[in-house]
Amino acid sequence: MQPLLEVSNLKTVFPTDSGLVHAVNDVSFSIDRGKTVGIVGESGCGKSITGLSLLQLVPNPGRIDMGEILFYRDETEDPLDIVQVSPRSELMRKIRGNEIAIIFQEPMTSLNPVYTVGDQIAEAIVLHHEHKRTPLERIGLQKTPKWARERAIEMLARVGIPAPEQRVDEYPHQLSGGMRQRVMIAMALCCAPTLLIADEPTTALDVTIQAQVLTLMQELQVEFGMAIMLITHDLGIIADMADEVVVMYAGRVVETGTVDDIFYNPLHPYTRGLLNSIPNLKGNQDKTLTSIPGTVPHPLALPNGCSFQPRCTEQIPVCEQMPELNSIDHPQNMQTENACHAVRCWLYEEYSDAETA
Amino acid sequence: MQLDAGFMRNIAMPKLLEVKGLRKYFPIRKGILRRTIGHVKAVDGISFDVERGETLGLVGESGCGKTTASRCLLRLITPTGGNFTFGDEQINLAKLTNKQMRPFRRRIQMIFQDPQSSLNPRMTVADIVGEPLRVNRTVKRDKLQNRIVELLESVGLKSHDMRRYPHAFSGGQRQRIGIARALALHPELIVADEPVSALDVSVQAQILNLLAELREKFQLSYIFIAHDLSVVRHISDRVAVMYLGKIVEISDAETLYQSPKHPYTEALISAVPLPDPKEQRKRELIHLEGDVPDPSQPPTGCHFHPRCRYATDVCKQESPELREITPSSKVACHLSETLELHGV
Ligand SMILES: Nc1ncnc2c1ncn2[C@@H]1O[C@H](COP(=O)(O)OP(=O)(O)OP(=O)(O)O)[C@@H](O)[C@H]1O
Ligand SMILES: Nc1ncnc2c1ncn2[C@@H]1O[C@H](COP(=O)(O)OP(=O)(O)OP(=O)(O)O)[C@@H](O)[C@H]1O
Ligand code: SF4
Ligand SMILES: [Mg+2]
Ligand SMILES: [Mg+2]
Repeated sequence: MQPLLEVSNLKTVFPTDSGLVHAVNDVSFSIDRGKTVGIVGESGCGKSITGLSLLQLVPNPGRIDMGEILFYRDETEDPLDIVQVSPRSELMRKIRGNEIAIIFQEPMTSLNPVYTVGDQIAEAIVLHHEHKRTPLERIGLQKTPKWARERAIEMLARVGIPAPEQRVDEYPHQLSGGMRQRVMIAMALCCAPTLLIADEPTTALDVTIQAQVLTLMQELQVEFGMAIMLITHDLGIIADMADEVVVMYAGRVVETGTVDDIFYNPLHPYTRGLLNSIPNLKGNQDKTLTSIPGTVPHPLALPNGCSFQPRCTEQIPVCEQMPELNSIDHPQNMQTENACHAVRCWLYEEYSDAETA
Repeated sequence: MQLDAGFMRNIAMPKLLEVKGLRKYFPIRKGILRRTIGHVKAVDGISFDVERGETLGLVGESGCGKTTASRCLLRLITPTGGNFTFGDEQINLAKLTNKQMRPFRRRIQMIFQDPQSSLNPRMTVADIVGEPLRVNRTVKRDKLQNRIVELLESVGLKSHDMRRYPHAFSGGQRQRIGIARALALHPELIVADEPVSALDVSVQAQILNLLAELREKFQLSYIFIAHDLSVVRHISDRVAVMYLGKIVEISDAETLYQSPKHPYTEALISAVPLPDPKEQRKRELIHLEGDVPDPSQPPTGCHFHPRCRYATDVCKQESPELREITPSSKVACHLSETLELHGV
């Protein structure tokens, strides 16, 4: 089956006074229609910049340096390479919001404090349905068209905001964190995007509210058939939501696979280390957690070879060189056609099938 | 005769800390005259104790009063009501003046969530860790250096880190500096408010291991505040769950997570996604409707009743007391004897 989005060898860099930061370095993965891909990794590993690159929203002075982001907008047409689209072009604006939407951890940064939530959702709806506006509305004599306001109320109700007829006239600061995140989701969804990029959408929320928001995203995914790229550092959320998982470390993909591959057959020492570091809600474990020694390297002082090597307890001499991301040829993978378990680690070099990768 | 653990707890030595009915109300002022028009009952009559060498976990959603309670215990703010006694002397710290409080300050220390903002960026690590030693003149000047090195080494830092400034350290290392400073005066109780919440999981595990190791080494007791229920289970012997300024359940960690007795505890546990996809697919999520209510206008009766799926009429009218259900667990729910709740 054709994926919705195919990222190949993406490289996004930031020129800084002390050198070039490779925030996203040779990243490849794909997202299938209607599926959820989880991007996981520790702070600074390049998750957000990967997400922003897909929308040509990399902040200054960053830029995409290399690679392809093939977006199959229509199953029949040739894909569009987003890397080749100018960030400020009409086409890119159309893709943002209409076809690929993004929500962030802190909704306050993307909601305008001086407009009511209703006006903000209505604006997104109107932009999507420009042709539906009356001439009066078009020249600005009538601000929010009535139908857009009604649709905004509908969307607020759909994302589970109580008393939407009242809330529609409230300002963002009058809402709780969980409700603001719902408003963000309502705005993102009012154009029925085919892909939703959610960057730590629940990190600022309490667990019970997080559960509400995640459930809402799952329901809406089924309803609208959209794919989700879910960026998080929480492996519990990955287990709960993701079909496929991309594990990143220091700007690179170190392992990808189905959610079951990653949790029940983790290969990369970093993936294993992450899984071992989390305390178990069920208890019954050793009192000492197996932590990963050391810390994430500074982006301008990456080690030679495998970036994880200084912290890796299984390193071998060849780790002084950079391993490739190779698919692992193990029997489980034969059953599923698209899914592919791949790892960037010298320990698996003998099992890899470099020809097919 | 077989004595159970709970009974033993009750007859044992004086507790390190005994809190009874602790309250902290913040006035809500309005208008140009700043008249008080009501109160936020941030902490509304909580009682618990902490034994020597024990770790009590404190969990609950944002705004339930965890930080306020800990600030009261450190006497950074004056409680509105209630008592708490500390140490073998069983002195009631709630009523002490600032001056009377002074000898106790070194015995109760705090570790914060964000080591960045609690460390002075203009001071070297040696100055930061050595400050409490100098202020309290507990160590002779010629011994100061040695003591600082000893403290740094006990938290896994190197002696050559002394001359560096906080910005040169990673988040986890800064948290280690904060811990070294807290240990400087040989405290008996450490109140840790979200000490690992800002850290990546691999570093979080390092700090949790360090805290556990230090607890053994120096016979410390902790009050460990966090919103991550897995972390709290890992480090705590007992756990208290707070909701809108009150403790709704307090119990030994094992019991609380395996067979919670309060509907809110049950819902909290159910909301935590487990890092185990197969198990997660099987789990039933208990949906809590809506948000935590405004603490200045808490609901009548049981504060949790508008979100509780088991609520009955009595829950809407009467506020449930925190009652002893078994010798080691207390619950504030009208129905705790009849409900069959699920843990993990
Ligand atoms: N404006 C910038 N200038 C220089 N470097 C930057 C800039 N923005 C991001 N980076 C670098 O890019 C890398 C990736 O950052 P990114 O924000 O994608 O990380 P992340 O995985 O989302 O982390 P977090 O979990 O903390 O959100 C980091 O090393 C960061 O220092
Ligand atoms: N100085 C203050 N003046 C007025 N209200 C306050 C003050 N400090 C805290 N509050 C209120 O008291 C309640 C409890 O706050 P507290 O910070 O103790 O919660 P918390 O459980 O620590 O939450 P979090 O998990 O977000 O840290 C909140 O409603 C808060 O708004
Ligand atoms: S007292 Fe009633 S409302 Fe409160 S938790 Fe128990 S059952 Fe629910
Ligand atoms: Mg990020
Ligand atoms: Mg707090």
